Amino acid sequence: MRFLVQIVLSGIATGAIYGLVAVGYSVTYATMRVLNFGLGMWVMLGAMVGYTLHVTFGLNVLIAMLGMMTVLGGLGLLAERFTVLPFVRAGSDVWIMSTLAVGLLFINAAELLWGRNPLAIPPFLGKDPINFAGIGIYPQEILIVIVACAVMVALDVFYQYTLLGKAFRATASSTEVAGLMGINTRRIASLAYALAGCLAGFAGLLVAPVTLAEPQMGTILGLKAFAIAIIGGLEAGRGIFVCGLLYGVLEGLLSGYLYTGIRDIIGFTLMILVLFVRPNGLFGRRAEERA
Amino acid sequence: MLSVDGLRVRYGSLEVVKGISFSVREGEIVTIIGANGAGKSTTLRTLAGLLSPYQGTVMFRDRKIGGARPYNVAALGLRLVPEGRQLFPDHTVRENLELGAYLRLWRGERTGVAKDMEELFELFPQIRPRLDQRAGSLSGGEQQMVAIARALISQPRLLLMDEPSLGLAPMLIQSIFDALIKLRSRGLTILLVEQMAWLGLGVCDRGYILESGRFALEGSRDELLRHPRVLEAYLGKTPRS
Ligand SMILES: Nc1ncnc2c1ncn2[C@@H]1O[C@H](COP(=O)(O)OP(=O)(O)O)[C@@H](O)[C@H]1O
Ligand SMILES: [Mg+2]
Repeated sequence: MRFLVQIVLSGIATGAIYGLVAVGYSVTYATMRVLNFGLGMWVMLGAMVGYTLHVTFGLNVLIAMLGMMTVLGGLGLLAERFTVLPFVRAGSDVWIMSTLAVGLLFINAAELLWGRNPLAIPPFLGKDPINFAGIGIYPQEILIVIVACAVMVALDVFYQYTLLGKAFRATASSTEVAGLMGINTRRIASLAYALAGCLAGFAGLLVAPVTLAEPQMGTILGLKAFAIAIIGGLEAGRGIFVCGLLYGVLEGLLSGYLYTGIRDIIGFTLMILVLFVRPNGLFGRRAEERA
Repeated sequence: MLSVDGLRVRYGSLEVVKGISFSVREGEIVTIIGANGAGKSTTLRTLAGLLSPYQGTVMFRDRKIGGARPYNVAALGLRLVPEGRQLFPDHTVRENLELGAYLRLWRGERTGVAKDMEELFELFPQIRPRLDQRAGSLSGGEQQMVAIARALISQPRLLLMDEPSLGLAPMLIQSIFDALIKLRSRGLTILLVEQMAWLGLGVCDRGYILESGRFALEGSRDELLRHPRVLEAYLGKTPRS
């Protein structure tokens, strides 16, 4: 029983990370039908840049977080401008390759700058597990869940209550009509790309104290999050996050009670099964429901 | 205010607008009448920046706007009420209006926008009780009113309207066109496109008859209403001899 509870709790924490990254995919997809296929590497870069700011420079973790997001946001604007826009404008699908190429470039750069060895980032709230009715929970795991949920709420507030957020949704609904309103849809597209990078990097720095930071940390994670985004239905932000949580728990249970090797294949198996039944994902709307 | 010279627009190799020239002066209502497929929407969409001209120039308030991006054109004060309303269906009516006022709100004109919204509710009283509903849940007539209000709230210099009567019952068409007449009396400049000639010619100062991408006729409202060809082909009357 204790084992089960423990598995479920850390599953939720892992799932919250998957969820954040998966939502990152949906942010760009909803606004401009573009996916950053290298998003997993932005997770890694977030952890690495965070390591430098927080551990090497000794900055307060909140300041390191902000600094890291500024760096990744800036990179996001640049990456969109030079590796996505030219292809989208030419009506070509080459952005599929170029977004991935940027990710691979990040891995190489990380190996050069930070080396291949895992780097430890101390947990933000202390190392020792908190004992709760005989169950040990790591404070960092609790932090992950709370902060990830807070980010999702903040994202929702942004979309529902701010003028810019409403413009994001308008652009997602119709780029043409949004343009007629005077909304600079070009700028919205690059902001969305930067936002996705920030979300991924945020998840990376949040999870690094649990998993260690190393150049390959985001590769599989990015793929799993992609599967989750598809399972949830690419445009359904909240639904995707919930899928992420469920996925984390399921993964924990399967690898806890069956064997660990199964962990990395369930995502795509599930994705294929879900797409058979609901081609637009669990929470995505069918084309005819959209009108 | 708007002058179009030798405008040609193509879809691939198919030329749909074949060299039209016209102008709209401040305070005028100009109408373009044409049958289905004549190229009316293509013309308006090009003016609004949704399509690029193949040839010809478009000048708006002394600036060349042919080929400019829709948001840059909108920022100059040209607003298109598109064919088929094109509201944001998942946004509420209020949000649709806010998005219409996007540039003004961004400039911090919150009180001005709120005041203008009240005025719009006087013009279209049907809108107010629907403010917090999804725009997609409104009837066609209500959607058309919101679409017009969404354009007006931006304080446009020039309003382009693409077949506001499309798919609406006669009663609703009447109230939409009554609103247009009120707007004209307030000095708004409008370029209106209609398939139904009596509607378009009824409210305009001047008009153009568009046939297969070319102007077949142009003239003042009275000239067109009396022209035998218009009477026969567009108003369904046999010309008086
Ligand atoms: N996206 C498009 N691609 C190709 N042809 C188009 C497209 N849109 C419209 N057309 C064609 O252009 C012509 C004019 O269309 P349109 O401007 O919509 O006419 P109207 O608004 O006067 O009914 C029609 O023959 C139509 O079939
Ligand atoms: Mg049309």
